[in-house]
Amino acid sequence: MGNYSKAISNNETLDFLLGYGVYLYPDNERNGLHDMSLTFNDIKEYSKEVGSNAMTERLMYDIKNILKLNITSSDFSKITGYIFLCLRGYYEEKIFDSLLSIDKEFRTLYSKKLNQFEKEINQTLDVKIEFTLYNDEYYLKNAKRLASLCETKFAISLTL
Amino acid sequence: MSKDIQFLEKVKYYLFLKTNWRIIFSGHGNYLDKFWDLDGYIDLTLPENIDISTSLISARLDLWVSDIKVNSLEADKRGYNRRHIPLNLFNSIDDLNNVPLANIDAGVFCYHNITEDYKRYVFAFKDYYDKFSIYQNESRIVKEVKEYLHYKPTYASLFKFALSIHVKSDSITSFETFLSMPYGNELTPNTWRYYFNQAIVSSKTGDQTKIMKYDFSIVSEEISIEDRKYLLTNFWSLNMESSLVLALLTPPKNDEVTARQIYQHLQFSSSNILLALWNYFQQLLTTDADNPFFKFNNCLLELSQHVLTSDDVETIGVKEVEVYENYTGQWNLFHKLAEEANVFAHCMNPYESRFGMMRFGAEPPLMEPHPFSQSNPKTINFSYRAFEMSPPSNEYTQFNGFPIMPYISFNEFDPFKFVKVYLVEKPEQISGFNNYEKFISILFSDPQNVPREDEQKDERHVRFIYMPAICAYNLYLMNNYSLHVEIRTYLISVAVTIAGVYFSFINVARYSFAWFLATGTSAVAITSLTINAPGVRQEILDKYGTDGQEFLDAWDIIETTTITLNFAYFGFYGARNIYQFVSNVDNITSALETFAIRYQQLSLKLQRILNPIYKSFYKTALITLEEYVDYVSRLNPILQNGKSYMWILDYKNLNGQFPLPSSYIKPDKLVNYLNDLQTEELAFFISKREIVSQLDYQTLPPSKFAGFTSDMEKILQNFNVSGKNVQQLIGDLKVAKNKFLVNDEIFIVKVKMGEVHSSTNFQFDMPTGNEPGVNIDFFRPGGILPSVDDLVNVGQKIYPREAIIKNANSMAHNNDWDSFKSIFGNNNVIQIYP
Repeated sequence: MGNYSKAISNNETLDFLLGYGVYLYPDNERNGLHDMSLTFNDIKEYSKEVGSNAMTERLMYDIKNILKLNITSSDFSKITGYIFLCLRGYYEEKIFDSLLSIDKEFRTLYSKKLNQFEKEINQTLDVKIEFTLYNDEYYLKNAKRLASLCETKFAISLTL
Repeated sequence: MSKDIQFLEKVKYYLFLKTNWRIIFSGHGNYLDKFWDLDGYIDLTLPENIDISTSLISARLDLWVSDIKVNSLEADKRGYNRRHIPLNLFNSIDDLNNVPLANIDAGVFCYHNITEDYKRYVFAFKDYYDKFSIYQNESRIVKEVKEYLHYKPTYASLFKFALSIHVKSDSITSFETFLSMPYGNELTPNTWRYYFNQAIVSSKTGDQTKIMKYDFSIVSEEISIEDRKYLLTNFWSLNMESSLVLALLTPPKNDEVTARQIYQHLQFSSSNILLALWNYFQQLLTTDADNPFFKFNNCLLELSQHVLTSDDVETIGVKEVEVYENYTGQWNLFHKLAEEANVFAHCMNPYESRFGMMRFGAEPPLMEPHPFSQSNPKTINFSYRAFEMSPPSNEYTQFNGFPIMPYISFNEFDPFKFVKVYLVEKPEQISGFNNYEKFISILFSDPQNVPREDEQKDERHVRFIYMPAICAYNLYLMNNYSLHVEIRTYLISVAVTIAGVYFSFINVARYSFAWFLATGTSAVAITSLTINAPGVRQEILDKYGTDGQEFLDAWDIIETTTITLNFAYFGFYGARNIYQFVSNVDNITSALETFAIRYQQLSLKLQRILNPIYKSFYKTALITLEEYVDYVSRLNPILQNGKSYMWILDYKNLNGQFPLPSSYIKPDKLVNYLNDLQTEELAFFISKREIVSQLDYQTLPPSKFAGFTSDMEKILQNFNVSGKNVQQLIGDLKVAKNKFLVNDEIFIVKVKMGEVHSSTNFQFDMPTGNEPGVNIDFFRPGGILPSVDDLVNVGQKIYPREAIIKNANSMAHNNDWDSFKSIFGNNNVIQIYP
């Protein structure tokens, strides 16, 4: 049983996708911050276990649930990252047979969360800091970068 | 003190206390009304009369960067006093320029009035640059300086980082008074410490207004143990808030002595402080994870870990063995354990615990109806059942729909008695504990054989925590308030701490609880049962007399060392608390020698019983020692006279950061190293996954660790000779187990400066250990990587050297593999696997 399967059976998919608790894959060269590439490896393994269709359905279900929660911009960046990786896996790498469904509900949730972060971060800092450590603004920018990549590479918009 | 001072006091505390400048932009919260996480934190709640909305940048931590290398060597040479970095107040930019740079450790630069109402202050920390990652953007700084500061940008070259604060004109006097205030002492008026003491004195008379102005993390760090004890004893009559009490229950970081003193004060004080605290905090229990009762229990739990002894562990362990020997069954076994050996289980999955009970057929009569033992009312007696989320309603008295907690009498049982709580993911794991043989086979399985490729399939192992009985009881209470998730998360983290496992490595055996057995305290505690199981010690003494005693003494040293060091799996590289290992290395060496000799003299039966100890801890301790000896034999020849590895570790302990290599390495050796570095250049191994699928980052880390090219090529040859065994590469490089996976594409990257894109700021240097992101458990000073057996020239060793690529994040690859290759040149990124 792969890690994603375990997380599902333990009702811990949030921790799994965002790298909390036992699901943390620390990056020793970045102060032990979570390495999402290893989580995505687990997602690929799950896809082999249950098929890519079931995987994408489950992943989207979990992502939507996470977007309804009070998450950080770092979490938001990771969520966007998984979406990009799934799209790339379908369109370019051909490792998934089915496409992650970016439906209206997702776009609504994603847009709402994006707006919330933009509002919060703009409210709190009237001058942009472009080169701090990995902070809220950094991760928000990164999420936007990845969302933009989804649009330019795969013509899929994550927002409304 | 005004609120201005209260605020700046925190800033100043940061200046003089935080010598290791560990700033983490946590990504949580917003900039102004929450906090910056500053290894502890500074609460940046602004005082009322600093109105940020009308100022340009206002109070924020700003990072000023330039490409001019600051000479922090001078500061390092002098060494910082741990508690006081002097502040220099300058009245103008001319003043600042007139001060020799070397004289400024951290200064406040009073700049100018930015508006009629505000004056801008800039705190600058010039030595910050070498320690933390930054995103350099010179043009932005220049632009900002020109645009907003109206001054030539050269002062940014003096200071790498600054905290700029705008202060309203009517607060300037008090602000500057504060800034010029030295740390001082309790007896000297107008010093920080004097004011702090005044606040403590007021607090002791019942006036909490002054102390409440202080950040509680400061109170935790600064208050003396005597004051702490007094305030804790009288917290109720002094009308303290819960947050202040929690601060008093929190010892300073890494201060085990104070932690023990606090715990023992609770335990042995004539007035029943714990009862008073418990009664107070349990009234504050809510379903909110942040509630004071939850924090109170955490404080107790953490304090208790400082007084937990191997005797406590063994007492429970021996009883546990006895119960297992004489008992079979599943749930009823745990009840038996709860009653006789103070062992409980905390199921971490609420659904499993609820429905799992039914699957496993635990009949209702077996359930304990009440957490207190009926046969012995002095003990709490609840087992797995008691930690469920939804106990039967008859355990509560309902009052207007609210549950009333079961009454607890502190006179009836010992709240400080240590109990063992298992953390169980699923009830199935408990079924593994249904007889003595399984118990032995599960808990004593060879730790070294466990963390492997198939570790995720291994569910035989469980984690556990030792805690005071009161904490276990509190878990029961909190569970019934639906705090399950928070409790679970916290307990896991505590179990990790106790087991000596830290998150850097938890992924190695993500689901294999064996990892917790394989590493650190818990492993030794369990394994030592083989030696402390009934009759074993006595049999050794009876048969082998003084030799047997020597053997047992040697084991005790190995056990103690291992508990302290957590090197059970990783050896010297990756060991924590290496300072204690180095300072006790002679004792450890002698104990290992004795143990080996005497072990061979034991009977086959005893050898079999003690096999887990021999195979795991003895051998790992031996490897650690060998690696240490090898390391110092390479380090010592390049050290300056009078310097040693211990000196370096002492410096780190004292100053919070490693010394610069130039302060301990012979100048000629350093020159040789740097010359070789320029000639050979660097290479590192990387997986494509790390670049294209780690989407949180579009660059390499700011400090990229690498090896000298010729050494890395030898490592590569080893890898090839091993049949491209990924484990060989991981083992040779001593990196985390998931650094390279079997399904990865792995490359060697040769960093040839001449071919690297000309606009990069890449710089090669010897690592200091203070690099941003570095895992100091793996870092060993002197540019030395672990020696490796040469598989090509059998019998020879490879002695790789390590270096750092600074500013490795200055070129973005944007998670695109071709872009990454173009940074280093396509021909220099060579696939080696598969």
